[in-house]
Amino acid sequence: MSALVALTIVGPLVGAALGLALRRNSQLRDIAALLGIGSAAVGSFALLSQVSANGTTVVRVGGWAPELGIILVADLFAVLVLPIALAIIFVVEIFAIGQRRTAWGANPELAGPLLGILTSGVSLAMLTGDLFTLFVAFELILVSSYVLLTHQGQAAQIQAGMTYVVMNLFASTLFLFGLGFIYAATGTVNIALVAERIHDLPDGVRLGLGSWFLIVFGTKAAIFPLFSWLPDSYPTAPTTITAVFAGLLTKIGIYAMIRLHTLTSMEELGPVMLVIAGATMIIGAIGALAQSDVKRILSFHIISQVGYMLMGLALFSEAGLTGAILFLVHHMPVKTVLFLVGGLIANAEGSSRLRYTGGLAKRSPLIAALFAIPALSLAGIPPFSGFVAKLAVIRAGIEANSTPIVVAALIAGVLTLLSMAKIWLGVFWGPSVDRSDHNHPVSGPPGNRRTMYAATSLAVAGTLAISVMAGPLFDLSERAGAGLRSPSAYIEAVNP
Amino acid sequence: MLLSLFAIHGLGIVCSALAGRRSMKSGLIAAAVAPAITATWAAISLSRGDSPAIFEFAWVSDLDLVFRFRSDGLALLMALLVAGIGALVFYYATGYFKADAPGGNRFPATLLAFSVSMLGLVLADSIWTFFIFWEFTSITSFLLVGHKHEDAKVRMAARRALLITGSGGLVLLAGLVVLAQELGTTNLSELSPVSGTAASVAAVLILIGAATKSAQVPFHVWLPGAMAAPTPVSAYLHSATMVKAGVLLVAVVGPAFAEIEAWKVAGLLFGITSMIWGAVGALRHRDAKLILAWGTVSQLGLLLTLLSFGSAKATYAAVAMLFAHALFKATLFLIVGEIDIRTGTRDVSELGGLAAKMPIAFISATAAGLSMMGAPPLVGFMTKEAAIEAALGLSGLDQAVGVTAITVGSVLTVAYTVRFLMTVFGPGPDIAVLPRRAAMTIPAAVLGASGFAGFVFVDAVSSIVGNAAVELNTEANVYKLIPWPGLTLAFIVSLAILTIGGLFGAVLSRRTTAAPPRSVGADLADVAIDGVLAGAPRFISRVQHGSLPAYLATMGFAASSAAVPFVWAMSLDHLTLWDSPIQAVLAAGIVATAVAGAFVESRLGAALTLGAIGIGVSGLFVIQGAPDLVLTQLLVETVIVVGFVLGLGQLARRFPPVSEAWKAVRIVVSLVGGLAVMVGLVASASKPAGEAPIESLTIAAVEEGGGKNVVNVILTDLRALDTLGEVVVLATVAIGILALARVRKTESMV
Amino acid sequence: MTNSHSPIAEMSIRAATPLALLISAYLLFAGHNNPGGGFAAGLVLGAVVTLRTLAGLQEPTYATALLVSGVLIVIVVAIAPLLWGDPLLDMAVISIRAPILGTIKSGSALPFDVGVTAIVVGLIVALLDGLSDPETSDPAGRGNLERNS
Repeated sequence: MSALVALTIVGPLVGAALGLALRRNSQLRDIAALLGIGSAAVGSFALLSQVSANGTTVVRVGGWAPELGIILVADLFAVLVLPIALAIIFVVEIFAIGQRRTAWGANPELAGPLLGILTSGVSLAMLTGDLFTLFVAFELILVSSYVLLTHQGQAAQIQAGMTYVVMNLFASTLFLFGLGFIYAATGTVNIALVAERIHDLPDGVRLGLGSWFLIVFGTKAAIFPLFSWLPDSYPTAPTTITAVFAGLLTKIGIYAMIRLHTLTSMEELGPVMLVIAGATMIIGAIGALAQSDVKRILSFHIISQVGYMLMGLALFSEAGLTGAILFLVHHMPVKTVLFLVGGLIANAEGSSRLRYTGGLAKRSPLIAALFAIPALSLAGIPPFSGFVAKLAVIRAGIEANSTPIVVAALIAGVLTLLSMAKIWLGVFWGPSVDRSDHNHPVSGPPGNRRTMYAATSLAVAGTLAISVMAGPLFDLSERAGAGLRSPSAYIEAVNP
Repeated sequence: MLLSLFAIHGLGIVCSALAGRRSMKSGLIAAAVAPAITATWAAISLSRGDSPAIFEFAWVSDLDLVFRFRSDGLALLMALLVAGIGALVFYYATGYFKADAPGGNRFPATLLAFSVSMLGLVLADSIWTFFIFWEFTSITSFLLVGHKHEDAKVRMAARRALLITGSGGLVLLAGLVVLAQELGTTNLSELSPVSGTAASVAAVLILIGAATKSAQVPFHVWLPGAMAAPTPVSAYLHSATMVKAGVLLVAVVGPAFAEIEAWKVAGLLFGITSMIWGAVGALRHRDAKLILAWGTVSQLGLLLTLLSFGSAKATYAAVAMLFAHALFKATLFLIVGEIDIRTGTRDVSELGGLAAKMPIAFISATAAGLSMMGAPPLVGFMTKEAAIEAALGLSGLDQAVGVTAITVGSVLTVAYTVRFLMTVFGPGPDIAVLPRRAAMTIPAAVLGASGFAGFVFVDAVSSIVGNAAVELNTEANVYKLIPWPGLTLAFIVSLAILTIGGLFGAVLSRRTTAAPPRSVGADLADVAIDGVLAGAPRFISRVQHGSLPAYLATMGFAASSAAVPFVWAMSLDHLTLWDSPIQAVLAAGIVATAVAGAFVESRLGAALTLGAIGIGVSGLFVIQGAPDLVLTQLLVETVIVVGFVLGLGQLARRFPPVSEAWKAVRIVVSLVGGLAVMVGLVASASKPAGEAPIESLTIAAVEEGGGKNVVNVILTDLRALDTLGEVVVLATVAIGILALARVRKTESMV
Repeated sequence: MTNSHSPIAEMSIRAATPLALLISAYLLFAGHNNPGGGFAAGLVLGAVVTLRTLAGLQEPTYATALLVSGVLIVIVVAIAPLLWGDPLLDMAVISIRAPILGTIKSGSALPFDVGVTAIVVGLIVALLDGLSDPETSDPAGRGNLERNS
């Protein structure tokens, strides 16, 4: 068990280091990166089966007590989300290998190792039971993603990377301040101990800490009004990179928020969070409508959907939390797939801008089908996972009599549907665009199409599997949520 | 059995997609198999009067998401309509499309996907099963409407249909959640009356959802546009089946809302308005397909009206009408499609004289038209009678409203039917007609004849309708369809309707050259959608303006407001001014340097002040007795300043100028931000709930970590994982720098 | 960048190099009991490399090798205990008697620190590599930071 936890964190790092060392040999390099990420993914699935059967596993790094050292906590929430996150990165790495270096592809020498480092950061962020280590994990994710974003050195990417890194570093700084506050107030940065001690604090300090970390994690999660870094930066990155970012980065923020704010029961912040959730989902959806580029539309959708997850959390009810976790589980793969399909569109059309695309359904029904399934899921159309997740949060909202947020969720749903229709009409329907009159290069090495299609199809199959298994996943989400809502079990597991 | 029906359809979708790659015709034939089997099954089950089969599969049981199907009398009747008309439409389409028409791999499979969605919907016995298939019919309808998507008008029509039915779906979703909560069950066959505010809200929401699907005024505006679809689609989805889904929904959840006034009132409002306005629309248009589409709006309004009254007799009449309407409206659509293909136009002002040139179509159309008017000897007559009887059987205000509305609506219906038949088949311009295609003529004839057959075999039809209606209202099975009622009041009303309507229609059929009305409703819907699409960029450009400093200011303000709760917990008691006066000196120096740094205009100067601040902070570490931190801090500051000096060579020497207002904003953000952090720290430390384990840390470091330098033991042992993470961060930064350096070197070489 | 070929500077940097290496080594080994450690050692070593590079005495190379070996070393230290069934990053402690430093208790923390040093030096070398770019074009992104709202 302890070894599995270690594997998910260290495995991808080994792969990354070997991948860098072997960077001149493209095959060995790719194998190293794939093995690193793949072993972590397999390990995380093994963890899921172990933890769901035997309960939370706690690893004391270096053998130190929680008071002194760092602990890793593989609770059900962590091991439910982690396998999906790692599987996503694995699939994207396959796609990246297939894509090679096209006009939209990442540099394969670096993409593999950097994705490995990112994977390690993701595992660490989800498994850690320590807020400072969470900070370190955030740094790992931030730096590796920043390098992935900018490593091709195109002016647009570096400019976008600037917004990305500066805003996120600002959030990191706030995180550090927050750690200072928490350490001053509770004498620990261990999450379980914080959860135990925080109720002895004056209300002002407790809620101050809660709202401070709402801002910190909220910036990562791209909630209103802190989302500005996302739509400016994501669309400029290579497809593969954006696909990983879209699936994971904001979700780490939401993940951390769900963990900390539920374990420390910040119920008083619920109303504020609901207002933010409503604004996030609607403004994100409006943003999506405003765009005329597939990647940009999809980027704004991320924001909108984060609003739904925040809504589930902000209800601070069992149903709401279950919905939020299920939404998280559903959203990560679906969003990644959509960006991968965005990559296929760009590959096929020479551009992802709606002006330069059209009539693709005729020329490539496969791309149309690969797009339609996750798009319907994202729009919350049954029988896909997005419907279950949306139903879960909306039902929770109605149960809690929070009519305004339910109305906001429904409006955002309509707007999302419209923006998906916009993509469909612009890319897949209509006359084919004469591609001689725009200056986007259609040429460039097309990459290994078969690998790209295979990776995307695999990912679509994964989202379908999540749809089919929505029942068991709902149960797991419910159990994971219950584990967070009764912190005593978590505290007991960490500090028996 | 129920499951195998779906399996057959699934197989059919795959087969038709594969066969369709060869030709449209093969695809259509492959697709027709599954509906044909289903129709046969439904017919046999109906004739044997099998007891309902139930199939249930739990998907997400905690959310009550189950796939639950039940083949009761109503479900079987609807399944027969869906699958039977479906099979005929597939056959018809082999004549409608050229054998090698494009899209053979998509169209038949999509149409079959719709067919199975509709089948699932009519067999559903759970609220959520119903809803799942409901949404799927919206999506497949969108795809089918947009079949000829190269045309921008078609795309707009498809978008409008998707958005209106999709929004309706969301409203319905909310309504169903509330209803399920009130009911405590999601089984449609176990509904019990609910009451209260929540139930009323649910009722209205569900009704709105139903109205969008069944094209009720004012949500009807998508239906005429949907006529952009190929005619088989219009006949199947937009007259016979999908548009009935809303009415069916109202019928099946009706029992739960029997006691809710809002349900009835809203239903009547939708129903009566649509009945009248739809018929008026049918009278104004010149496109034969649009005439029929508007007629559908009207007929659906009549169905909704009957269901909203909710009496047993009205329910019975509604089920009967629903059956009759599916038959005659599909027939008429198929004939319009045939006319379109054979003459090249659907404009009634250009048509005429087709009675002689298309005799089979003429007979089928007349039979269907008479049925639609409610003339004997056709099934439509008996159902119209039943409707009038039902209205007469009401009491008080209901009776007055019901009789008036149904009479006016029926008069108009007769009028537009007569106008349709006379303009198309009556005397008119001599137009060329292409030869007949059996695949198009036969299905229309079969459906047209079924209206007559229903009249002949009235007992069978009566009992089938009764068995279906009893699922909705336990008292509904005492009624019967009566072929020859004698001189009842209802019959007299019927005769009056036919006479007045017929005359009216005959007069109007002479004036077909007037310009067709503009589609104001559809235009408004498009204007609204385009308005949202156009407004969105304007709105979002204010939020997502692209200025990083402004984003940072926003973040600063957000963080500062997050610190507000700290203010309430702030206490100054525990604060001491300083441990050593040198701290005060250092602090003053740091603050002064920081303030100066803010006003330095050269980049180098700013970098140097940052370094100076760092060195000042390391001075604070000295006083706290942390030599490690001092050493590291000093080294880091040195490296950073060297880095700045090297790097700044590539930038302008001075910062660009800044406007005064923006400068003020920056100052405010900085001050408020600094204050927020200060307040946070003071409050957090004011009443701590735990102490840092300094003593045990020290012991642990020396005893177990084996080092006297606690800081280093923390870094390399106690918190080695953090160190590991951070050095990987450093390594990653280095990789990024190398990557960028290489990109620039390659570029400069080019 | 190597435009200041002052012989005096060059000579003094040459002379300072061994001293700095010595200091760096001291910091590395002393860290466990006295101020120092792998990070500080790496920074001192990095400073030497910086000076030598600026003086034109060496090219900034081998950054990737330093980084990769550093990361591999810390990872090996991290996972080695797992082989003995100990927890991740459990540091073994042994006593060594050494000249000058006296008896030091050390162990796997030392290679860990060596890895840290390698990475820090690697980072500095990479920075020098990046900044020694012949082209002095303006890195994009600056405009964004400085645009006013």
